[in-house]
Amino acid sequence: MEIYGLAILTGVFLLGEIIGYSLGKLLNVGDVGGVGFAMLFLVLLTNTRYWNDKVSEKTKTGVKFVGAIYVPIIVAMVLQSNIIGAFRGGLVAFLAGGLAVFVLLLLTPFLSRFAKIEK
Amino acid sequence: MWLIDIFKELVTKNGLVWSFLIVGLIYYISTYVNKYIFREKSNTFTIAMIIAMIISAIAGLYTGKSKGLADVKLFAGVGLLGGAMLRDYAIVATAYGAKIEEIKKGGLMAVISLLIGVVGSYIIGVIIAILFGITDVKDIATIGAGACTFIVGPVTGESIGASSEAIALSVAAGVVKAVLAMILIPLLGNALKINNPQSAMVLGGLIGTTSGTVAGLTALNPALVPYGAMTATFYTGLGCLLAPSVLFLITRAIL
Repeated sequence: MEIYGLAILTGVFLLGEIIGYSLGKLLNVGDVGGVGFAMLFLVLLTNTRYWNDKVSEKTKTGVKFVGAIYVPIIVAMVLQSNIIGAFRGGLVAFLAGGLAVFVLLLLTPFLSRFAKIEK
Repeated sequence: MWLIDIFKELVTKNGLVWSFLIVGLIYYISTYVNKYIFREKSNTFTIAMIIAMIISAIAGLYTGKSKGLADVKLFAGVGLLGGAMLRDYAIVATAYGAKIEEIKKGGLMAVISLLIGVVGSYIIGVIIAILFGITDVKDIATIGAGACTFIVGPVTGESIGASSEAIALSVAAGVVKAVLAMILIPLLGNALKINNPQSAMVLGGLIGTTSGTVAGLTALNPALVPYGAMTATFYTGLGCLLAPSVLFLITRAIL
């Protein structure tokens, strides 16, 4: 059933968040990569033979459905972003945040070249 | 008029469901804008995002608050659809179909890029703060932290006791970063050869701001989203860990 897909997703999501928040508690900060861990668990789970052979198509549809509605969710997220706040911060905020994106974006091809050597 | 009153009551009561219609409409309009104005040279999502930014800016001007359209009572449901709960749940789901081998290949470099991303953003923020004549080292460090993400900034500022002005600036810097990431990643992505899982993982580590990275990658190439998102979600935690401790102490020792 489709709901199983949603339920499994909630399972890995909570498991990842538990790890993220526990790590955060240990280091005295909020959440350290809870969503990242959850994604890793989902990848590990869905790459098993059990998932491929035994799990029904309908259950998989449940997971795919959430993956598909994530695009409108991102649009809704942008709809509530603080665009005015970005301008209100003035030049200091604009340069600090803007250059941080721009400079590091330019670094991406150099670092990803090393990633390829790793294999 | 009674019909308008009923309508208002219904959409505030059914906020989340109503927001499906709003986002659906924006998406529908975007396909036509893409088809007839941009002659399919752009993509629907990018245009939907730009329209959403414009609406959010207008709403922000109208309400004077920080949550864009979600602060307008009639459209509060958008806050539910685009809020952290559904966003994180759906980002996890995008990992469906990602390949273990690809993640392994990019793993080490993703960790390194996370460190470079946090430290690099911090240094850039600190330099800008100094250039603009800010002298208090706590305020300087807070703005540096704000250049990481809009969460790292206030967390750092509050833990080291920076001024409220500096904390507000750090939030603004983080928001600028998220918005510019949404715009710059699709714009420069092809030129910077962000076209495979490993480069997306590196990008996620370098830029870090989850909302900006995910929205930017969706516009560039949705297949890369899981890889970029996976590293980006570690960034804020790492920033909250490093900025108020190691990075602040080093900054104070130097200045």
